[in-house]
Amino acid sequence: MSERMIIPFGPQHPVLPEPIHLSLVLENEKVVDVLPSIGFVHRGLEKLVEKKDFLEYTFVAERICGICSYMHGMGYCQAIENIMNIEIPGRASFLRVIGAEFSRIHSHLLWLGLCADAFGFESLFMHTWKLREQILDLMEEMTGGRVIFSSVKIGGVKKDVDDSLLSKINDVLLELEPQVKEISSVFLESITVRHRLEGVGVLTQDEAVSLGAVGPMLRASGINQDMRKLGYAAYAELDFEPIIDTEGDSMARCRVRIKEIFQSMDLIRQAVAKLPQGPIAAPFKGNPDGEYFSRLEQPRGEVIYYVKGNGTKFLDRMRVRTPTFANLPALIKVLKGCDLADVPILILTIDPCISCTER
Amino acid sequence: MSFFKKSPWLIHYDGSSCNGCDIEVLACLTPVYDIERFGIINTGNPKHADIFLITGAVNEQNKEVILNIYSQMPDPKVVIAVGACASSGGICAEGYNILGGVDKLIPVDVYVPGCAARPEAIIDGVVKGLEVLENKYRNKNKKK
Amino acid sequence: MLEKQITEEIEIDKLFSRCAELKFCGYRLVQIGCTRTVSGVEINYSFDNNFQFLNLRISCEKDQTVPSIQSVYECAFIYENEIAELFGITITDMKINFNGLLYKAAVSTPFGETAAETKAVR
Repeated sequence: MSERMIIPFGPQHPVLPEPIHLSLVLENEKVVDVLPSIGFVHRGLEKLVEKKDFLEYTFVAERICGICSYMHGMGYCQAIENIMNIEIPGRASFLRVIGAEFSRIHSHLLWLGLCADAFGFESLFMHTWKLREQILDLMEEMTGGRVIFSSVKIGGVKKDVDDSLLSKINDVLLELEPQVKEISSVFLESITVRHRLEGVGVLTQDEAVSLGAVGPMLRASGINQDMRKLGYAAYAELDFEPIIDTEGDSMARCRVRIKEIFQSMDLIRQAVAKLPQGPIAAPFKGNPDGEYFSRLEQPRGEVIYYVKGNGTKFLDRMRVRTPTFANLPALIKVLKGCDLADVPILILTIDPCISCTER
Repeated sequence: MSFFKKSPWLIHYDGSSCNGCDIEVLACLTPVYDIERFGIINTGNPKHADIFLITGAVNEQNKEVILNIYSQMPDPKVVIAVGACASSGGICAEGYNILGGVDKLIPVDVYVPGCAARPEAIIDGVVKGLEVLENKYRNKNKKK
Repeated sequence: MLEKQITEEIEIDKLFSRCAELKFCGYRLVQIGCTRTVSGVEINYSFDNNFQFLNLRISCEKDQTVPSIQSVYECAFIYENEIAELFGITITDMKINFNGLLYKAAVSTPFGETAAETKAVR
């Protein structure tokens, strides 16, 4: 009874809000091969640089993905700033750190919720998303948007934060921290959750490196690599250590993300405490001429922005390599040999962002 | 506001959205906004659904999928285009792979503005959709 | 704040051996990206080793082929297929080959024309 059959997964699937199609080759209940086909969300945003000038493109860059939109804008602006030698003011770089870390918390909470949904723990999903709303409210107060912010601009940020908001940020985080602790104990200790996550989809250290995994996927397999250590924005002045885990299974990825939520809270507190006074944007003129690879750590891992300008308003090339794109080979690896029933949860453990991947 | 007695179920499909509208649609279903208290349930099965929520523009690949879901839904049905991309193509309208808004493909009853559409706007859109659904039911019964 | 980024321009036939060297030195493949030039494309192979960023650059005329580096870096398949599909570059000896079915975009090779051709259209 080892006849092979192919089961199509997606593009419209209840587990994932986003469309991805996988052809799963099964031998009884075991997945033996996976053929991904992407392109359902392919919009051709990289080619839009020919139609929108480099200032307008900031808005397009933010819309590559609605979850890490803050950091997409930041990555693009950093690349342009480096080409044009714009020194952004200290206050702006600290505000960028606060915005980016808020994005990380909201993205990780979103993932935790979807993950709970994937193994059928509906109430945990609802609870996690309820906590996430508090972060979104703060983001809205800080930037004016809930998911798409258009807050980062070339040279700095658009909106300043006053003292009352800063103290509110501290208050909300103080309130949120025990609540997140409470739900994270469910993820880490509950037998139901552990049963679904422990030992599922193990990615060894060597495999993670050779398959080019990034972000929590790589760190959960014991590699210490976090692009924030490059010290972009104001990260060089903040005190933190990348979070790593050694098990390499789905539980380890979950642990890394949960710990990163608390790390982000800590980073926001540090940034709020050290926030310098001064302007929030540096003036500039001219057009970018040159090229630069800007690297950032997004919630899903390392993102690369390559921008090449030619001295006119229109860029020659804007390329973005997003973390999910780099994690696809690792996903295919962990899916091979798993049970059919574990497929949804394994797809979720890489924290897929399909709209990033396909642009 | 309508006086529709039945609770509609909705199906959500992400066309080529950037996730912004998608997570807002999901946020509508979770606490704080919680449209489930009106009996509205997000289902994964097109044959159970009355309302079709689409986020993001139509492109060459998902054309078939959208038509497929739409044709499987029982009549009468309502289509709601959520966000700027679903309404007109939005910021990516000029992309080479984009056909345009959802109305290029199937008739749309309600357009929800915004980039990304706010949960309040989405709920408003769904309520508007209920009215349309109610009218469609009336017309259908009249014909009988 | 500026990160030091080294770009090495190399010949196409040196690409494979240089990649093997980098792999031996512990570099990981960060990305492969393609940019159109006046008469063809340039392809950037970016590597990183403990925050040292290194970039190999090959330039490729319109009818030239590029060797696959999948046998050195397994994960290169996704980038190589992307380049082959969007730019219409022929990459030889690909172990995993989607044959242009990765994106299935409405336009075949949307980035196919060279920069000179685009200017002529404008």
